[in-house]
Amino acid sequence: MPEVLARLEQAKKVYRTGDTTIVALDSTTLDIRSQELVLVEGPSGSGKTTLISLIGCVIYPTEGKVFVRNIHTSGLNDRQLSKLRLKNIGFVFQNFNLIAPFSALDNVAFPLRLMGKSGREAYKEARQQLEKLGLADRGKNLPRELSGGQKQRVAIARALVANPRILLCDEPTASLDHDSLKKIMTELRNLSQEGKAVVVVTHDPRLEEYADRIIRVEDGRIVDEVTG
Amino acid sequence: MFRQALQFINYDKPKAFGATLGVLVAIFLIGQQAGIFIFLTSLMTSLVDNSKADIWVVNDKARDANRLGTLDMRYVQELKSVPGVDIASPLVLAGASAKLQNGEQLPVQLIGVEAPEFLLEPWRVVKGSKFGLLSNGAVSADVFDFKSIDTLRIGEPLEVNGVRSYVRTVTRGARGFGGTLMVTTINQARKLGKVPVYKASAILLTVQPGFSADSVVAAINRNFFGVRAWEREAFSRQTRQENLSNSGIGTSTFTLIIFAIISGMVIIGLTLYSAAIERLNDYATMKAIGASNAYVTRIILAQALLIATVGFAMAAGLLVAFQRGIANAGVLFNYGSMLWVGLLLATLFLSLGGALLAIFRIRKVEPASVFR
Repeated sequence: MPEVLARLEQAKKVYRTGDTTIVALDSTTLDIRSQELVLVEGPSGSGKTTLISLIGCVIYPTEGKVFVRNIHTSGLNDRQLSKLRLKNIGFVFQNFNLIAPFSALDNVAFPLRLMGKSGREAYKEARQQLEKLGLADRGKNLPRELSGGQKQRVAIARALVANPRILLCDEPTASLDHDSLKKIMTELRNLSQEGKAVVVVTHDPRLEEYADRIIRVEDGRIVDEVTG
Repeated sequence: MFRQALQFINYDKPKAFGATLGVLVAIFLIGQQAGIFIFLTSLMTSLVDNSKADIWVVNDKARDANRLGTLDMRYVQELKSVPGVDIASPLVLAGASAKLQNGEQLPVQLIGVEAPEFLLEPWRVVKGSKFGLLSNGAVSADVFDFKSIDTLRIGEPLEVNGVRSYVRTVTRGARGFGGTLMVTTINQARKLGKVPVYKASAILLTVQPGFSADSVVAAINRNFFGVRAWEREAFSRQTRQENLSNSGIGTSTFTLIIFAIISGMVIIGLTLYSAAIERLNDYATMKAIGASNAYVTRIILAQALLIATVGFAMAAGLLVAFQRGIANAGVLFNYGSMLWVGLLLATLFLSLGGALLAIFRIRKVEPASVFR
């Protein structure tokens, strides 16, 4: 039975720069459930990133409420919010955002170290995660020594290693060829079927075939929602 | 934590090298200035610190052991009658000119002490002994003050104020603030320095067992007019203070140390800041993943600590080499454990203080910036 893992209730995000006020996301209500892959589409500047940032608890809403696993995030301080993200949310960024000075293995082990696991335990699990994604022999490499596809897989390994229930992916296939895109999206689809909520922000219509639900955002509002 | 900090340092070696160099230069400069300062202050107080007297009785106007003025010799007998005084021994300081066989001439300060008490005897003796000074025309000499002589030997002839004398005790590093010191017997000093027999520069006292120096000092200062008694440590402090306030050595050293700290902190601060700016995206990613501000702060502090450790170790090595090198020129001093602790604290202050700018910047990084 799918459960609601994240909820936006009339969430609004306004950015103010001098006299200019930009409503990045207008009063939006949205549920993100387990066992579904949600595609968020829309043109540049439509509010997709703000939406995913609110779900990911990396920004606070200006108005409204954001719940992650029934926890109201507005009342949490930096430390509590960091912990909430660490335990519940995995991120796959458009540019991979692997931590440059860390090796692939260190990148993947990083969330586990943050969770307080011992070095030995964290590196063992990180190694297993890299093996699952076919990168067992790349653990010692720095990100700059990896290809685009390998970086993407390391980023996914890092997002999954702490076993979060919500996976947020920002343009995860932007720099991938068709084969790699297929592999990644199949993997994300499998993860959603295993019980995770996967939210993918994209411009790429080729991803629609993998989605359980497609949300279209324009001018800071959800203008369309299609369940597949 | 330290592993991650080390990875950041390793990744940007030129900046880590720059920051380490900042620590190294600042701490070396501070240590070097402090070493010279220790040496100079030890010269200022060498007469007092190397005496075996518990109490120095001097003219009541005298505030500096290197400029004592004169006392009437009658005080010697009177001081012997003060309860608690064990030995009362006069000391004569007199300016003179020494001429070596090779023609070199240099001003000296003669120190005439009473034998066999020798309440102020030559220190750091490397050849001969204090008893050599008992022979006629005998003086001590320091190898660093007679550099024109390859090997200063016992029996080296010289003229002191035109009177034939001989080096009977050779020291290495027994030097004074006012110039070259030559220890001799009090009679010899009077003769060479033309000091009348009824005058002395100071009277050195030892205290009998069971009496405290401060009570004897208090008794003398209460009952004697025209003289002032000082406990040895107090007179040493007073001499140092007098010379520091008159010479500007303290101010100059302190200013240089402050500038070394400021420049070191600026170099380290800007280097760490610039390194942090280049890695903003990495720190933002760490925060987005779940690292708190406290965690990233600790990573930057750990980097600063690692840099501080390496910089301090290198600076300490250089300072020891500097200390040994300069000792060959007669500048003898020891970095005591307190100074090392002080230098370590200065290193931590520099490094952690320098890291503040980077920390403030990194704490402001929004994790949401990873989506832009």
